[in-house]
Amino acid sequence: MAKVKGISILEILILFFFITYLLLPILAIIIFSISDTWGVGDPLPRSFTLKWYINSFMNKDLLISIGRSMFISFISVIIGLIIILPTAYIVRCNLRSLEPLVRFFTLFPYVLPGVILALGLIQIYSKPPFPIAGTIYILLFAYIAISLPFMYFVISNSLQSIDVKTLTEASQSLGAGMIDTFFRVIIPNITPGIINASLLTFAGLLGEYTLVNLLLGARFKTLQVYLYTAMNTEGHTASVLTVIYFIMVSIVSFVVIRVVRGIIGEKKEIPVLK
Amino acid sequence: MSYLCVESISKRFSNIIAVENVTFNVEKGNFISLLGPSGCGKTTTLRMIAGFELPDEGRIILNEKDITSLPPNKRNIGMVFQSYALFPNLTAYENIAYGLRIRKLPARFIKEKVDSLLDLIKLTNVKDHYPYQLSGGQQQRVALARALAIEPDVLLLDEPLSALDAKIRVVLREEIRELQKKLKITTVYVTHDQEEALSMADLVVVMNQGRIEQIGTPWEIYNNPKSAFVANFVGQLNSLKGKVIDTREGIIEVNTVPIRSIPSSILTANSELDFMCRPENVKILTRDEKEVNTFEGKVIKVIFAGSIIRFLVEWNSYNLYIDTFNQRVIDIPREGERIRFSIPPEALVPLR
Amino acid sequence: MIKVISYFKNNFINILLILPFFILCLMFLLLPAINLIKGSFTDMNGNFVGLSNYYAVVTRRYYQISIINSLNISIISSIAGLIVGLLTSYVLLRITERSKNLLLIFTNVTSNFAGIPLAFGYIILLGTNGIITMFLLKKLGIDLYQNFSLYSVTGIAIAYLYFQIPLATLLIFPSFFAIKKEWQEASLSLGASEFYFWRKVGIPILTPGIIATFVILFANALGAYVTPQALTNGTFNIITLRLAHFLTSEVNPDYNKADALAVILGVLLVFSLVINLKMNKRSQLWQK
Repeated sequence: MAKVKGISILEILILFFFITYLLLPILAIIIFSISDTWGVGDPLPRSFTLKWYINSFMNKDLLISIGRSMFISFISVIIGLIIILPTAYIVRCNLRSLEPLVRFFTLFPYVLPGVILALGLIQIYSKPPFPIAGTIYILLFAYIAISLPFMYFVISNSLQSIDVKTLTEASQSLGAGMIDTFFRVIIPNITPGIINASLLTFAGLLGEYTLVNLLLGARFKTLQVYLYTAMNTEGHTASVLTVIYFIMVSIVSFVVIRVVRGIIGEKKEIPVLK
Repeated sequence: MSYLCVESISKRFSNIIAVENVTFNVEKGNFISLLGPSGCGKTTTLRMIAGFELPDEGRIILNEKDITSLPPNKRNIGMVFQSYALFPNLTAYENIAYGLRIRKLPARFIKEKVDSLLDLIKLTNVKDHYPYQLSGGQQQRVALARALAIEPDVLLLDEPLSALDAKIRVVLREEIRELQKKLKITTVYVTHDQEEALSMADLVVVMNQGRIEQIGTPWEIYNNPKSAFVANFVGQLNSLKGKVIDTREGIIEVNTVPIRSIPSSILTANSELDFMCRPENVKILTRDEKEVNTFEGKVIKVIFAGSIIRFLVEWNSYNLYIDTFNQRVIDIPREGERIRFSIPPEALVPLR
Repeated sequence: MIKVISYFKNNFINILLILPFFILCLMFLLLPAINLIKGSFTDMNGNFVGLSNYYAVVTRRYYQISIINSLNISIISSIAGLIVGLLTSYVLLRITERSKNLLLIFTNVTSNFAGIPLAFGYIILLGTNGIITMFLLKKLGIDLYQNFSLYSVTGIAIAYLYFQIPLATLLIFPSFFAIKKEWQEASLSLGASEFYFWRKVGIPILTPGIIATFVILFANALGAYVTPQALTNGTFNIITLRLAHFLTSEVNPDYNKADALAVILGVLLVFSLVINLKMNKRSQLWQK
């Protein structure tokens, strides 16, 4: 096997295949989004244009759908955080015995993919006492519920890495109450974990289609729903929207990676007491 | 020619010299220890003997064969790693049998050999246990048996006891030495613990920053260290700065106090040298006793360490350590009291 | 009982604060699941009917095909994904730290593309008028659609691979680190060849990790809804699309049959999860 700088040709080929395979569909959509005229049976467009992008920024429906997606994802993340932070902290510090139960719920997303969850939710919540099926509330609660496990996982790991139990005891020995400790010591020290959990969940919800489609249908046109209908009717608009969506989640990914690298890059520092 | 000859080997990593011009010989059946602080090159030297690193210069000869560039699996060496490196998916029995199975030896022979080794290390009852089911000490013994099973020409151990509790370390130390003597297997033992090296080895190679500081028996290394580094690394010492004022009588002056030591060629006229004096060599005197080099000092601290009592004594602008055995009959001077002691002339060892 | 009461008293505020988490999980995760299971054993009016719903589902040709198709495409895409994942992981081990990080970032970012964008991209690439389809036809004279269709099992599997391969790589890659250099050195010192080491020690140690990965890929493919839906507009007969059909198209849906089908899928997923956990435990034991 010919070797170049310690890595053989075969291995380079494998990497090349890997990268190409992942890149092709993305490139295809980008090309489509800037294509103008397309001859019959031509592999590639004859001319290019940016008019689809310009049109999109004037397309009210498209912009509103993006707005809806960001809105529901944002609210879900915020509420999720408010619920998860005290939960993770208390379970880790005071109520260790409940940890197995929490872990049990963390595994749920694996056995309840979107379709099954939607089926279950509709049957319960289309009747009293909580007939919220068909309203935005069922989507909101569903989104929060499926985000909780992942957020718990990230936050709990964060807490573990800062040895939260010892920090809490140190803080209490210095006279601080639980609330003070929580806001002055714990939160500042797990900020990277919080950012990670929030951003990843946000990006994930932006890309969520199953629940919004099956629970609300066309009643709440998020980015993904709009994308699906546009895919079959206005292909160019769909491709532009895809590019916009992809840029949005890529930015989120990059920020997360920066934050993670910040954690790994740091040496073990003495945690900060604000 | 010695059984194992390491001749002037050197090794560089990027621009760091790990091992420089190291030479030593081991006779067949002997136990030699490579002793030194972290980063002194002792592990790298061992790995070159094992074949996991290639020396940049020099040769390694084992049993009259030049093995310098031989791959590790062709050298017939037995290696015990610091982290034991037992194969986690194999039982203790299978770990020990590993090297034998490779050599395609008959099954009955393998069983005999492995069983006898298990018996030797007293682990017959856990032979079907997996590494994760064994304690640190047990894993260490299995690792040892595994290396011995193939009847290697030389046994190499890389700080095998450093991950264990102090008590177990002492026990295993003796067991390893007993085993080695019984099987008469040539052994190279790397450690940073001077107690281990001194108590186990026939010969000690003290290393520092890639170079050899001194080779000698434990007795020589301890009592006649050739350099300040060796003296400091092996055991406690008092270091006195002395000026030679009489070369014929061997009298030196420490802070204007004359002290009689042993005349030698090192003690040239008017030279200023560091003199090592081991705490246990200083003799505590009663009120009436008088010896050569009798002095008096003030006890600053008394440290009771069980079998040994250590005094920190203020004398002649020095804080001297004086060790004595805990003999219940004798009156122990207390903090703040005066103490009389004598430094025998032979206790003062000049260092270069 | 007294113990429970005093426990509550002491931890009153704590329990209050963690209540929202449990209430939400209960109401929107656990309850739907329980309800599904219950529904699969009852009829429209809530009467217990034993296994008749299940029987109805597994004996209908329609549903049989959906189960077979689901299993089929999941196994195919998982095996293919696993193989490519293994190869890629092995190569990743050999490249520089910087390249490795770049590749992991790349994998991370492109994983966001899965779902509708993925389906759309593949239609543009390999659809009947796709870029690649036309390229092969115009420039190389090969008619791709003679023997192939993006909307067949093969085509859909290719789309599935898009998210299976990165997932496989990310899961398998850490397993390679489980092989400690010292084990390899110890093996060498005992006289073994590299091959012998991998055969006796290396691969047995990697095996639980490989099985665990396969099982996750399998579960991942089984539960996939968006990609096949968007690609075939809901016409591909797999379990997830059948269930979705219930919710979107049927006028008087027979929820009980749907529940039974959902439980069948759920059981397959639970089974996968259990195997995954067992394999992970085994791997962890060996890391001690």
